[in-house]
Amino acid sequence: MAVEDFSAYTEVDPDSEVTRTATRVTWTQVARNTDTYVYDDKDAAHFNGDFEQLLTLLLAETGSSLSSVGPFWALTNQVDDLYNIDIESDSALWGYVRMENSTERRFVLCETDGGTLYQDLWAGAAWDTPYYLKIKRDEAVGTYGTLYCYIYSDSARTNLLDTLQHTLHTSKKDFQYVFGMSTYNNAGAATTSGYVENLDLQEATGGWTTIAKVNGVGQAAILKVGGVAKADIAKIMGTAV
Amino acid sequence: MPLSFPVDCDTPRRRVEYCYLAQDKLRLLHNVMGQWYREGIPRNLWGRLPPKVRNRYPYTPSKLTIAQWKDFHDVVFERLTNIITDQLLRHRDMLKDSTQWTIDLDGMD
Repeated sequence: MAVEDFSAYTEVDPDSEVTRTATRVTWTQVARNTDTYVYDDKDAAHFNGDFEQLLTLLLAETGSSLSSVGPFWALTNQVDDLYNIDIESDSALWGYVRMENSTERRFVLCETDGGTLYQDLWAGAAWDTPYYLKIKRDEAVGTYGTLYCYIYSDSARTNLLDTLQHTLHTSKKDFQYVFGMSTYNNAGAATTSGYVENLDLQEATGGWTTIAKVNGVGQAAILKVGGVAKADIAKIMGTAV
Repeated sequence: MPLSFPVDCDTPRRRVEYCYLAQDKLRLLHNVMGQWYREGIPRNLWGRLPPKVRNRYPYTPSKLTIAQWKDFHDVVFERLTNIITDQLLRHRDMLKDSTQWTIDLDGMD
């Protein structure tokens, strides 16, 4: 397993408020009323069935303001901010941070299901403290599956602070895009700052494996996508196939 | 496997309360096991673990092995999480359908 390379993600950042390294997406004073996001296209229905993803999340005090909504992770089927996905009656699984008042900061786990929003939240987050999340979908729990977000205080994920959960609605859904941050653009100038780091989709590594010879003969190339072999074999034992 | 509620835990409201308490008790158990895996735990703390957990993980002053930690996570924590969550969400949805209260959004603040 390897963490996602954010430098290979696509950044939409009209106000230059996002910086990226290979493992971290940092956003600074991103207002609700912008379309700002960092995403990757994993191909249609890539996120299907059960999954378990890891990430580190920090909400920064400097640059965050009351009533802010800062999506830090999302799986969607369109490239847009989470508000537009909602009002266009599309679906998504996502999480956001919110400064509710001067003493309360929330992590919220959401399902947008055909334009209907469901959420569960944890109100115990501290400023400038990394939290280690595990976001999991288990389609065996409930009719259409259940979405969990486990929040830990340590990177080894041995000290659990809270568990958020949702019954998922109306159908079992597949998703195409993964977001390392986004916005919820329903106007309002409230801002958030923070970062997402070490997003690990915990998928088998894809890529080409080239086998030069089989039993001394042959020129085979085998492509694995998401851990599933898709053979593209030109020759077997020297014979074209 | 269904969750066995106490006999008098017979309304959605009580069952949601019960499930949240169960979930938090499971969280605390998880964190003791996590502490055991990270640094070890004293015998008196181990002695307060549920009997089935003590039977599965006999006391040792050394740290839990990674295999034991993963075993706990998969066999105890995840399994119980799923059982509790299934019931929690089921009864939470029933509460959302409650007609006990008339909600006036205009008068809320």
